[in-house]
Amino acid sequence: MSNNNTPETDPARILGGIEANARQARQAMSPNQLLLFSVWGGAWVIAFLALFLTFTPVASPLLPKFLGVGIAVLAFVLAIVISAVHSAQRGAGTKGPSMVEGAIYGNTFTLGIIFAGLLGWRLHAAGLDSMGLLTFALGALCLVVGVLVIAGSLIFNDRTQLIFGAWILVVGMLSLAVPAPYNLLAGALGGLGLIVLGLLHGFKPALVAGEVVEGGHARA
Amino acid sequence: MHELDPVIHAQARLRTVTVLDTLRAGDRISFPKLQQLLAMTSGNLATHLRKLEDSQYVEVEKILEGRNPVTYVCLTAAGRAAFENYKSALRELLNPAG
Repeated sequence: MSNNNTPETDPARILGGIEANARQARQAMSPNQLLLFSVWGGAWVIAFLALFLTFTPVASPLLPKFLGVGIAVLAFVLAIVISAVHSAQRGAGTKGPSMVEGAIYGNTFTLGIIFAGLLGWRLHAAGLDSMGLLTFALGALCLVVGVLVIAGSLIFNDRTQLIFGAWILVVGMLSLAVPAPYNLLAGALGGLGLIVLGLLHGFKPALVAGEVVEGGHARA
Repeated sequence: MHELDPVIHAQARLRTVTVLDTLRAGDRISFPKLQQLLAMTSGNLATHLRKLEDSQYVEVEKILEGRNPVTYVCLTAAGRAAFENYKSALRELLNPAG
């Protein structure tokens, strides 16, 4: 569709132009999925591998505890900052019910993670050992993130989010299938999956993007 | 070509309505952001928005954010319906039998 004001006369070209312009507008106003999945996938891989290396080899772990935990915390904090700044930039200049829904949804994530953290702290205080806590931590993280992302996929009618949430739940179940600290490798695998999902969204969108329910109430 | 809404059919207004239609019902976009997405001059965009507003296809709201006046724009229900009709008319022109 050209920028001048001469009406186009070919219906197919007009419809094609409408579709292209709508797609560009949605992309410009939505977070870049390739960026977010890459950042979060990278954070998961780095954080869980660093934590794993504080336990292996058993006789002489490759990383001291403080360093492994520090790397993991830094990776997650960086991912939070990058995604918050990027999402705020893309959402700037719009207001309305979607912004309110997004804020409630985002804050529910924070509350869910804090809730799981407090529960882990209480369980540890009640006698749960470090290995048990590792099992709980990754399982609880995957449960909170997976369930909330799948709920979000239905709210926003977004197939990518549905795949993301389902993958995180699978990763959570895998993490429960192996004893700690090997469950941390499931977390690293989960991060790799997120990077792959981001790449597919960026370069093969037909495979992972679109609506959950065709013609559903929400617009991606 | 007939039965195409002349208010929407102009290129610049069609692009404007297309972008506004990507917002969910009730959501609004600021004038500068819309201008940036459409790559139009502010005068040009204001002219086309006035035409769309006169037809009650868009709603323009001026509010104060802090001390700064900001203009927000959204598609009305009538505008959304008119855009759907416009697209249906195009599809009918493409496939008269369907």
